[in-house]
Amino acid sequence: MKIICPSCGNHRKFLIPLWVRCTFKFNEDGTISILHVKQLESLEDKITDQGKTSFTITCKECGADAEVILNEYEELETQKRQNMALEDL
Amino acid sequence: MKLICVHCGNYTYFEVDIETVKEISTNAEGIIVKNAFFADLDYTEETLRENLNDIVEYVLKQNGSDMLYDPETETYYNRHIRCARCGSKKVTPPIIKKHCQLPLEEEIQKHREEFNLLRKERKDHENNLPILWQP
Repeated sequence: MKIICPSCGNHRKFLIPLWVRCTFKFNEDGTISILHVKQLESLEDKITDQGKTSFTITCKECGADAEVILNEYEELETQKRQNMALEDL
Repeated sequence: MKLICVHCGNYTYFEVDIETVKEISTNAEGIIVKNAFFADLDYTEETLRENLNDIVEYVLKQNGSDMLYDPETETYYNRHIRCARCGSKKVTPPIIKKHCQLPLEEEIQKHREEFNLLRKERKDHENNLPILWQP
């Protein structure tokens, strides 16, 4: 799997928004303390759904929508298969 | 006491769903998920704290007016914050009896002397300012 930014070419760091359930308490002085944070969304689902419904993963460098390539070798395999078919003929 | 659960009386522990931001990167082994940093700023933590404060402030500011009515149970519920003890959504700012207030005119009359002193103090301060330029 590969994630790239079509805008600036970055392929290293990206930002993904995640919904979390936060348990907190009110202190005596009125301030808030966080007790626990639980992830509510599946990261895998978000990555595989990128671009299908909406774009959520963004480039950390330029903020553009990122592109997720799930099988980066798919094109190579197709080419290889086509070559083999031609050789067989 | 800022919020109270109508169901169990808890006024300390609550839960809220908020959105935060994580950083992901890929390498040969897979996906690495960690907190997003911009220079020294932990953006993930900052977003989490800010969004939590925002939503709590919003609920407190609304003072129960954004509670939604559930026709099935015939009760009002909070759509943002729920009780962390019993899981109930019947969380609302407590009703605090307002102090018996005087009518505005009476209140102004009552504090007239204090205001006059304050005005005098300001005038004295203005008269004692250094003179920077004279024609």
